[in-house]
Amino acid sequence: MRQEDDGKWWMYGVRPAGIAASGANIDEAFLRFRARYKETLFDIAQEGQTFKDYATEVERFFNEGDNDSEDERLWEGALTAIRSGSCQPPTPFANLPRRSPESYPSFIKVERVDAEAKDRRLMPSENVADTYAYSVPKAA
Amino acid sequence: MSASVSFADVKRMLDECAPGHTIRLATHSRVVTSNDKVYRTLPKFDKIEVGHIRKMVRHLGIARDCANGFGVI
Repeated sequence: MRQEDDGKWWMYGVRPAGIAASGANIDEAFLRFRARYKETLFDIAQEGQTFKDYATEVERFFNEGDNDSEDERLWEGALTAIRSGSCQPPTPFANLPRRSPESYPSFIKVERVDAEAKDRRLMPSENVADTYAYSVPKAA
Repeated sequence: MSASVSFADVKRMLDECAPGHTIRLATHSRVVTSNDKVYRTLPKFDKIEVGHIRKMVRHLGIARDCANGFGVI
């Protein structure tokens, strides 16, 4: 997430990499990023003939990095800077919850949970709201 | 930096800088393929914010010097 020359906040995907979204503030950028992500999953669902097709394409979409990996390098650099204590969070990020990225590794798993699923049922406890956070400083 | 550019300018850039690319319409987005990579989230509007083009260029591995020449990033 960064503020570009157009004055807007831009959220650029790292994993998945192939998404960008803008907003007048970080909340709007995050909401629009989520909407774009969801729309992409809907597009993939409409194109696939089978559940396997859908799962394969969703995994490809999620795991395919940028050709130049610039956004991933910037993310890693920002994380290092935050953990070294060499920078303070900009004002819009000051009140975000703090989490460690290692506690939330990025991955995707596509599972069938509808009536056709053989041995998997969706439990209410698996409904988790997505949100975003700022990295905790590295422990001393 | 202009905040948005026309899709026609983006298409001209792709024709020159990403030969062999394909563009198709999905329900919510344009899907652009090049260099065996797929960019699924290009907006379908006639005017596209530059941030989307910048991300597509990075994702597909399009030469920035080339894209810069079209004023789209």
